[in-house]
Amino acid sequence: MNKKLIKVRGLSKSFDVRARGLLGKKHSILAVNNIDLDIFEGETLGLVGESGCGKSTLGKSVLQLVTPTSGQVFFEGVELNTLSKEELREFRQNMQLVFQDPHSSLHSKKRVKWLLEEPLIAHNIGTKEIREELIMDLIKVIGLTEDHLERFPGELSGGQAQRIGILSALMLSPKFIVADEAVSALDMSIQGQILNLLNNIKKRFKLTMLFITHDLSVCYYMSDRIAVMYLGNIVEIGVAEKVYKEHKHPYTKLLFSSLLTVDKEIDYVDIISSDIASEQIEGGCPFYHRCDKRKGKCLEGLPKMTQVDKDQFVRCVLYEEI
Amino acid sequence: MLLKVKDLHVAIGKKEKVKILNSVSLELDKKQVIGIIGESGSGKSMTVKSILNLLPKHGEITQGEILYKGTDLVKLSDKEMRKLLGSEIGMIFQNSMTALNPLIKIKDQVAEVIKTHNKNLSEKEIFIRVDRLLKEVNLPNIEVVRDKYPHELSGGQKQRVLIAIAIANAPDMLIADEATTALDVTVQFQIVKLLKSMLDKYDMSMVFISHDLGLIRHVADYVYIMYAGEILEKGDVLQIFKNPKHPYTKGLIRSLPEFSKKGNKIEVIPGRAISVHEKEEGCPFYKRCNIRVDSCKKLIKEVEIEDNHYVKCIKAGDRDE
Amino acid sequence: MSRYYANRNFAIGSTIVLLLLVMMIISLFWTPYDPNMIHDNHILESPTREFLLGTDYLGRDILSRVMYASQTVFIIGGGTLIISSIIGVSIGLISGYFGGWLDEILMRFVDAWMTIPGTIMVIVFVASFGRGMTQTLIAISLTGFANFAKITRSKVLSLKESDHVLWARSVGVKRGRILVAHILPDIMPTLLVVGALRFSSAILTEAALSYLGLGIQPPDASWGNILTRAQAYILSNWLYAFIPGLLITLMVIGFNLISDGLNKIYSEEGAY
Repeated sequence: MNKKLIKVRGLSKSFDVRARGLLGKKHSILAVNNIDLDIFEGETLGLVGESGCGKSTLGKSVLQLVTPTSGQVFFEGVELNTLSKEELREFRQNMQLVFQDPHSSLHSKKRVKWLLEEPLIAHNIGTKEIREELIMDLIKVIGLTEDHLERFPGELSGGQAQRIGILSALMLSPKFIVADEAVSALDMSIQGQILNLLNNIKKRFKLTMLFITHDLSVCYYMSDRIAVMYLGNIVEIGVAEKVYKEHKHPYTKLLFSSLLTVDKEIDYVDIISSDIASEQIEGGCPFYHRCDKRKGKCLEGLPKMTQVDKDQFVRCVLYEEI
Repeated sequence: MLLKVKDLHVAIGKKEKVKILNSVSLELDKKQVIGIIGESGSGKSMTVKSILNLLPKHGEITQGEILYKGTDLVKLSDKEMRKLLGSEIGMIFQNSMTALNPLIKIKDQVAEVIKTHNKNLSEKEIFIRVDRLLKEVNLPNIEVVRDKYPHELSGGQKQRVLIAIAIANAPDMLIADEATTALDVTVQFQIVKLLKSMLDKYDMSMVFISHDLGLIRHVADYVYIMYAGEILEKGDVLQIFKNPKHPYTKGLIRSLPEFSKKGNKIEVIPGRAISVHEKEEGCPFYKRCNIRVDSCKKLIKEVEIEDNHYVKCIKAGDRDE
Repeated sequence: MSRYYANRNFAIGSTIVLLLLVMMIISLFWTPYDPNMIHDNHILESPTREFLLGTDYLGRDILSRVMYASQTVFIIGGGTLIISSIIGVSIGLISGYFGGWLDEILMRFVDAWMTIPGTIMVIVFVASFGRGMTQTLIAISLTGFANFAKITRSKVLSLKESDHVLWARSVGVKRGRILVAHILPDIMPTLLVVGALRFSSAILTEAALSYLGLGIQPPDASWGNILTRAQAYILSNWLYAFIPGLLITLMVIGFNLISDGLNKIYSEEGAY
């Protein structure tokens, strides 16, 4: 049984939004709702969901790049939200983020070499010579050459730029990486290359990964466990095989049955007809309006996480009667 | 044949002209859906823009015919082309966020396309049609939605509005370019279902462009695979996916995560797609091909594999490894 | 660089400024006569071969004085630009990035400062601290920094949320370095556009001060103070007033064109 690298307890994040006009009323959008989550050392946890589900916010909140509104994040026992700004900054060597679009996360006016040195300089690692050596060694690991070091990110193709993005996250030898839609912006034939690279470095550097994506097939391929998110809540979490093939939550079912992949035969029977409703239910199950199995009990409060199998948990009233 | 593109060549450039489409031919029959698959830079969008006379400023058709119901669209004037667009030919583009005017209400945007092609209709009649269309595309609460602005709608709702606009004047042909790309999985499913029912109900044909193989497989009847401005393979959708012949097509399908076993490496196509500026003589896929031979650098030729299934590869007839 | 010169406004503007700069540099080493030398027998003379622009009311060569004055003009223009931009940009960076109460205090201060009309502020300053080069420099700088502060802050607020700043934070780059190495370079185009305009406005303000007798004091020369004196003699030697006036105009047009040109170049590039 692997040990827990990361423990998340009661994590919530809400954003204040002001409605239109000078005197528009302020209201909050709850992007992440009271999440409890464990991430085990060496595993890849896939976090999947559609737009607005809060997966990206959750990833950034775990890293404290977005300050949670409430809740705690423990990294190897260290409670991140109690660290001072400077302590947190230093702590970042342990946990890194791979961005979706390397052409916006990498400063377009800086050369690749400069960008790769920044993490090292930030933490006073080595001398100029040692840093250069490190960069030279690592550039090969991600499949690029020294020539690429002198270029600007804009001069690189999507795949090459993302390799640099990944490398910049590796510079500090972190234990944990959050990949936020790391392959979503890439062409099909490049996606495979980058996924192979990620798996490669995962093994080589013994990384723990939180793999955030909206792409179900990619998620299943990359992950050991999968967590499905809907409107700020985790509605199902379990071993990848189970979630992919024996999903239990009505939303997970909807998600997988909507998936149009090459290997599938589709029966165009509709399950639900409405689009995603962004109004949040006060209390109650967030999926209520779109669920064909809904009942009165669903409105009584957010359903609890119930264990339905050895490695599978569902947040649904249907499974609560045990 | 509703639409017949014959040997289309398109070049672009202010001073030096670069060829972006090379000998593209395709056919669309009544009540048929053809899919064009390609990655970025493949020329799939340019093909469609050529058909619609929407090429960018320095682009021009250097050779070829685009026969729509027998008329060569290349020879039509801008004015004549405008009469077709929106009436007989409906367009649905990606990026529903920018395709709708943020300052105009939904009902007025739909009304406009009706008005443009039906100058003799009264206001009342137009808005009756608008409501009917909004209902047709399954928009909920039409009385409320009609007065909303685009930013007040969800991505899926906006896409439905775009479909309403595209079918407003009962076109014979729809052209959809990455129409569902920005949508969530569940919303995409709904939109695909809607499109299929519209096509069926109104006897429309469709040209559907996407980079998503799975999507094309479920939407199209006949598929064209494009790469660097050329059509490398074409055939019936099920044949293409069950029996792909071009190394590029095979590579694309093999590299899909759904075909890769967990824990194993994904079989990728090495290198990256070339841009049209990097094209040399012969097969554009040469550098990345695993079955290439020297003659591929000079020669490229279309071979018929089986019924209506063609490949542009001199080694295509060879046995599979 | 060539893309800069492709823009007509920038090309013309920078040529003008460059020519004036050349004149200034020459004046450091050589002027036809010592600018302060009084030629007793040649007071208020019209242009001759000896004195190409004539002589002033004290018998000094106008051409030499005008050339010598260009040094002052560049010092005032450049100096105030440097001082006000350093103060203003620093305030803007800190205010924008750190936010909170610091931002509130700094911005209230800047807002209050901006309510005082620049001309009044300058006059009061000079009246309190005396007239002369240093005082003029400081006074004009003080009217200029608020603008820089506001502009910088607004750019920082938007850049703070950008992906590349988030990237810098995620790898642990220290805040100061983020401001200076990751954010400031993105603001430079705006600062250059605004800065060029500041230069011309500084020169005009100095000319106005000189007109009121509050600017650079003789024997120091500025085009403004030469022009002021020259007014009385327009009928006898129109060049005496015309030349310094023309030079001021050219300098202002030059920098305004540079600013315009940069603005166009940067908007097209999307550097904004």
